[in-house]
Amino acid sequence: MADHSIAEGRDLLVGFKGKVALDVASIRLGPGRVLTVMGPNGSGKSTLVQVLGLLRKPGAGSLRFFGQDITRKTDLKPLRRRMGTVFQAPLLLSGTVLKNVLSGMRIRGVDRKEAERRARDWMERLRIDRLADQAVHTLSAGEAQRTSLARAFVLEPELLLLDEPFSALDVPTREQLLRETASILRETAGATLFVTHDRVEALTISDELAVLIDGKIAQQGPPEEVFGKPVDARVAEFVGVENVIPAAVVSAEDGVAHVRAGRHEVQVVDDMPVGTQVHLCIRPEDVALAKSAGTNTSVRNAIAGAIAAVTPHGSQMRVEIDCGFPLIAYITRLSTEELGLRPGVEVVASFKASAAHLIQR
Amino acid sequence: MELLTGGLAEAWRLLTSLDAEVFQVALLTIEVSGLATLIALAIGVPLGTWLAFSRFRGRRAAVGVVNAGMGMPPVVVGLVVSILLWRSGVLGFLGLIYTPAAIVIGQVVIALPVVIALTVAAMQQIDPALRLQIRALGASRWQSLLLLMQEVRLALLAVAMAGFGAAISEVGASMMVGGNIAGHTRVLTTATVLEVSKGRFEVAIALSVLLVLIILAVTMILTRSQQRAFRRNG
Repeated sequence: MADHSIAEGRDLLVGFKGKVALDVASIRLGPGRVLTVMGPNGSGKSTLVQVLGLLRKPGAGSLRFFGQDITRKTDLKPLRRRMGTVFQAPLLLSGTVLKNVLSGMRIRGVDRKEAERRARDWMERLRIDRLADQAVHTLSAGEAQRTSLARAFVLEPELLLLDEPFSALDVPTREQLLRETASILRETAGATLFVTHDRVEALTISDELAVLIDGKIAQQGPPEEVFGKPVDARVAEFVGVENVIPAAVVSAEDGVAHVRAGRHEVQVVDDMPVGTQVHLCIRPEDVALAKSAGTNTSVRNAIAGAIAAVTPHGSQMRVEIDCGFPLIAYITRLSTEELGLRPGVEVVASFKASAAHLIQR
Repeated sequence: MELLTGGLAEAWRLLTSLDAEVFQVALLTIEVSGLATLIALAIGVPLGTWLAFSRFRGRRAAVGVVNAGMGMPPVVVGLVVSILLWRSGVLGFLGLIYTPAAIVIGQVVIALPVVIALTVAAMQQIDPALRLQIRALGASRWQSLLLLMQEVRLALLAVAMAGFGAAISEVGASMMVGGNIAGHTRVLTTATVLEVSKGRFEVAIALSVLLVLIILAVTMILTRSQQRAFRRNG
């Protein structure tokens, strides 16, 4: 194993009630890097945080921290004192904001004056300095989570574990805190494990992204790669590629695969060999709708179908088109109104050959 | 009614005249029960915390036994402690029978199940995730215990009140292991029993009033700090 990693796990296995909760072949956290772990509920994300936070012993596997093998080590407290952890809930101790920000340093025996100075610095940075003497039960959810983050950052941890720290916050607070945290993490020399199920959070913060499904890392790589080229249908569905359509490559020329999906043939920029059974993946935001097929366009794919359903999707509308297979498109509300998109209306769905992605089945 | 008013008047007289014997008995009562409560808290709170969070076969049964211990008759405790401390008993070599120390032991045994059982109940109210967070901060076992005690300090003050109440109000054990020796092991409860047996109800009422006043004073002090902490930290 490489010596310059801060934390490494190999063949980590955790069982729970007779089932495998975590089965990770390899995970590595390097200095100054943020590894984001995404996954659906119950996929083992929190178990992974607990294992890497040395709060739960894996049933099998080896762990290496700060250059030493700690698999059989029994006193893990000194190692935990080199880490910082923020959970989904702020989990504050009763008392004031300052008392909480100081709590970790008091536990670790940091000199009182030094602790006070660092606490003031971080409270100012996270804009909770005016709340220093306020009792934590009077804080808003955002202020409480800022306190929890300050308590972790002030420890200057070599390994920072963030377990969905923003998921319980309202959207404006989450976005603001996410930006601030991303900026702090960019300056951090230590390693960070960031757990989320939010794509925006993952893209904002990560250097590397791992998708955890059923306790296993299904894919790991740069975020653009995982989002752009998911390795299988489960990853594709999880990272938000709603259109995962069974298909087969029928011909190929000049790096473009011709793929049959239902009664339609579409073109995809991919060098998958002819005859390969694939999943055709298209992001809903890459699908455009028109009342008729356009001419003089570079868009290679145009599929006719009838609208099956139109439902709100945040600021947009989610339009489901029956093309022989269901195809989802996200369309602005304005376009939905102007085109008169409603169930039963015949439309042509189009997408570029480079917007689609093939996964071997 | 006459007996009661006469008793109250006698109580007033004894209290205001600073009767030396009464005050000696009251002081010993506070010392013995106070010490017994402190010992019960020192043993019972860590033990209750351990029982609340540990996982071992038979834990539920252990909690059941502790809960049942809250209803342990003081005379039974007195009998067992007497047998142990008796000159020919297992701990007879300590020479503690009929001493204030023997009463402290008896009262600790009576207060301990109350302290343990109520500590278990208080600690189990804590969010398990907060315990995880405390461990993640790097706390040692003792640091964790202290932080958890701070989290449930309002409940622990109630535990202290209940423990002190159980210790100071029992009579059977104190009588059996202390012997109710004047000027040596006589406490307010045993003195009251003695005065009633002599038909001196006025003195018995005076001693009872004093006992209730002590319990009220201690409870009020603890309640005050409990409510102040509640206002401060919620």
